[in-house]
Amino acid sequence: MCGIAGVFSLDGQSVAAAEPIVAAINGSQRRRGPDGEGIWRAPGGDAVFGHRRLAIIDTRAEGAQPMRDATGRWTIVFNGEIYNYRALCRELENAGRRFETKSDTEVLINCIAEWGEAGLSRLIGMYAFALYDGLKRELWLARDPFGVKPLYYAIENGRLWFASQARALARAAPVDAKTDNAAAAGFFLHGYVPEPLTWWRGVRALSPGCSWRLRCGEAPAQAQAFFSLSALFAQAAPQPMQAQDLRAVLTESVQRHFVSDVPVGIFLSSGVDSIAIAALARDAACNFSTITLAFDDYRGERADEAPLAEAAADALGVRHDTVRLSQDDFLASIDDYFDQMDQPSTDGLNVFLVSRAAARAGLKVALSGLGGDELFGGYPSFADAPRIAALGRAMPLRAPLGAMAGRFGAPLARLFGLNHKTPYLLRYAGDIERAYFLRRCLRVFEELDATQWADGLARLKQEQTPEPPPSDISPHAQVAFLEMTRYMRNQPLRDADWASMAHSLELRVPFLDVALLRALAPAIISSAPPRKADLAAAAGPLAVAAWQRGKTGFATPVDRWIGGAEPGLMPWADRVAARFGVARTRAG
Amino acid sequence: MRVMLLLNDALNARGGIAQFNRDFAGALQGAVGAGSLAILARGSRDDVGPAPRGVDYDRGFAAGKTGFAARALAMAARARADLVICGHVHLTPLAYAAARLNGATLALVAHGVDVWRPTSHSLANRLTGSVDSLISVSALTAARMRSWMDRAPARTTILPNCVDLDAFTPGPKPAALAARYGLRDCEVALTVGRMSTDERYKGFDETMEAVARLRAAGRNLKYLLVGDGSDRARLEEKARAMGLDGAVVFAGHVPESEKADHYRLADVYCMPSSGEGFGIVVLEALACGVPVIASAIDGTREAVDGGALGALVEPSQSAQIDDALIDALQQPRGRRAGVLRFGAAAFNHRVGEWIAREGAARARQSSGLAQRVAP
Repeated sequence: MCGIAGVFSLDGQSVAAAEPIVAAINGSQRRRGPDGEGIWRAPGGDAVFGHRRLAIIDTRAEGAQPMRDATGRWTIVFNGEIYNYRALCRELENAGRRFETKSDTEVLINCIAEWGEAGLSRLIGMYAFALYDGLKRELWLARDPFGVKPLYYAIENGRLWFASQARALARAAPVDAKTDNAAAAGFFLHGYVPEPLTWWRGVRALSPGCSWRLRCGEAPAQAQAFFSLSALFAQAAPQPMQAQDLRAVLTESVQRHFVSDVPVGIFLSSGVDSIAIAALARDAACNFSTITLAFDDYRGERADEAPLAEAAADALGVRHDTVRLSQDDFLASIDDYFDQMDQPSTDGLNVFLVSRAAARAGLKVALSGLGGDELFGGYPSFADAPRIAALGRAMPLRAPLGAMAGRFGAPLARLFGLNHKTPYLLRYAGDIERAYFLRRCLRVFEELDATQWADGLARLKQEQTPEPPPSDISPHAQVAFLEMTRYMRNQPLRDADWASMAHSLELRVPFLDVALLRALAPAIISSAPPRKADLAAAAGPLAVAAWQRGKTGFATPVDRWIGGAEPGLMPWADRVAARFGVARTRAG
Repeated sequence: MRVMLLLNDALNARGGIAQFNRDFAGALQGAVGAGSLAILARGSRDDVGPAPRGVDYDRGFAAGKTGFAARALAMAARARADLVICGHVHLTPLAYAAARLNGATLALVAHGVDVWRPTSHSLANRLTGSVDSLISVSALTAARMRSWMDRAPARTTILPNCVDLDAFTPGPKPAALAARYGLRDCEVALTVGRMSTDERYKGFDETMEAVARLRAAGRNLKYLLVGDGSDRARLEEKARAMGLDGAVVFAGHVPESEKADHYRLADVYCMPSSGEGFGIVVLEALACGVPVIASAIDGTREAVDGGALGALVEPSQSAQIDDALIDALQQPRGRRAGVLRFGAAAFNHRVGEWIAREGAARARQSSGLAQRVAP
């Protein structure tokens, strides 16, 4: 759990002299890992690796990175956790491999050394790593199936640079660090920068579930997917899941996420997801405390998380902290929040604040309910996107009507106080991917100044081509696919990473466990996909009570605090972009 | 060995590069003897400083581009140098020609952010590939330059700036200066550097903002900025807009004779910069015994010896700067032993060693044992 960085020679020329630059990237990622720093140079000058360490497993010096295996062939820098490393370790020992540390890092090396690419499919965890194979003079880059852990790269002048944070590369490495107008256009549409783009032209994100093998002295080949959600959904046989089976797979995941040599906490809200995790953890006799973020603005309102979370913690019999925040606290933290933001995003504030509170309470690891809404159909988009899509299919003359409404409807919508997206309903109806975009976006394409953003939008369409959902699965499963591959990896997960690492806190997400997903996939594509009620039922009475209260998600009063003439987060997005040096509309 | 040195600034100009050039020219003179050293500098008429005695020193007064080139070639013809040292990347084409003319080794000095990326002179960029020996004030600057050079030089030498340890010494806060700036009975943070609208990387903004936060938290801290330039008006306006009148003091350009006293006024030297090649000012502060905050991401990191001599911060992280300031203000002032490695003696020794290595490389070359081995 840490910050990784490095450089690899693609043109065969030694990069050994680039060590000070790797040290500078390390310096830029210091908050990710305050416990130690390491730099390693490949003997032949093929690569330089840098690492900032947050010690969680095998906190002794032997667990430090960059780490070499016992044979000396492999060297790794690794950010994340392999939750099934003990089981893998036993298996690898049976296969004749020897271990010098008790760390998951060494298991990860041996997993690749023993099984190659196939080893990646055996990993359960969140990870991004760079692994150098001194024998074949190859670099492996890989990222976990969900994209919990980030990995950015830039190719310049025959060298590949990589780091855990895009901004670190842009600030400290010799790469093209001008703002990418396609990324900026994407940000104003979505409220986040869509992968593989980043805010900076020369920097790109490695896609989740991909591994990339690069050979020294050769032009880079394509990254290969070792995990595909669409394949998982397309190949599974639909099969609803029984409550006791659901409980069993959830419990396994929660237990796995407790692998740690330091204390573990759980972010508790009054919603089903976090209470379910806490209840399952308690029933599995895991040891933890809970922490809740509450806002003074909400005191006495239904949105106040504190009373119900405290009651839940009380019922679980665990130590609990409630951290209350006022508008003044928020304003005092806002500069640090922006300083830490890796790329512009309209979100991340709640994780930032609760992580800070958790770190101050002495925690290094915390579990979060992130992913519960994607897996168990918790978002309104699960109902709305299929409905919007169907609306278009049933209507004759949809295209011309939609074009007219889109063209002339905006002033009418404002006049009647309708949602700003309403005039575009027909334009985006008819197909679930477009309907999903309409439901999720900050603003639709038509709402972005076409003259100023023409180039950005054109390049966005060209360079950002995410996989469409498999067409032969249920609308529910299609939305789950879209939520996981569009919104979740680009916003909640990305923000959760920088916002927690900014406080040197490792955030773990038991709902985003590849074994759990494999078990759930047949149910998600079935006619009776698991919903929040099923999650609650599987987790026990406390979660059922939370579900019956009907509270979903976690709200912050940010909109109230920032205000603005435009709806929702639009003014906030403009403010975020301005901090990153870009204005949505030309001055004057 | 006969040496010809080409400089983009006169020896007596202001700033870190000129300071390096003075130290470097002095050390070269010691290493090869004044009679074997020729220097052509792109000086200006205001440069009235004395020329180094015994050295063939041409300030290139009033010469346009062509005139300067002609003087360079003339000097090359008379100097018959074995080693041509290019003091600035922009002069590489001239230095290349001079080296070719003499069959000399070509060395290039890399100072800072101007070589972190390819320059706007494409010919100069291309010819850096012909450099035999690269001298850089910091490992980071060398690495950044090597990341874009067509061909890596055969030899790379890190030659950190040096500081005059006799002129820059610890001392009590000078009362007269404190009175002049209204800095009595308060803590003082200091940054020294050129204020340029083109390159806002010195960390003035970041430090000013941190001082404002610490003051808001009740700390009696003031900020002294030494230096001048096109960005000064903006910084002054910013200080006013932040309500820091009287708490932020602009000293402007300070004569060399008063510089040490300005450092002695400070309780902390703060430079959260992001494009500094090395940061000689950091050394001056260290020599005066002032606790230093430097940057984790640029050459100042090496000026504090990787953190051994001062704190390191990531300039975009305001909380890190605040913490480092609070921490530094609790430290006693006083010179740390580690700064001796940046003294003139160490610098002269390094230059001497470098000249010896260049001489040996030439000897190997002429004996037919030339080998280009990428380090």
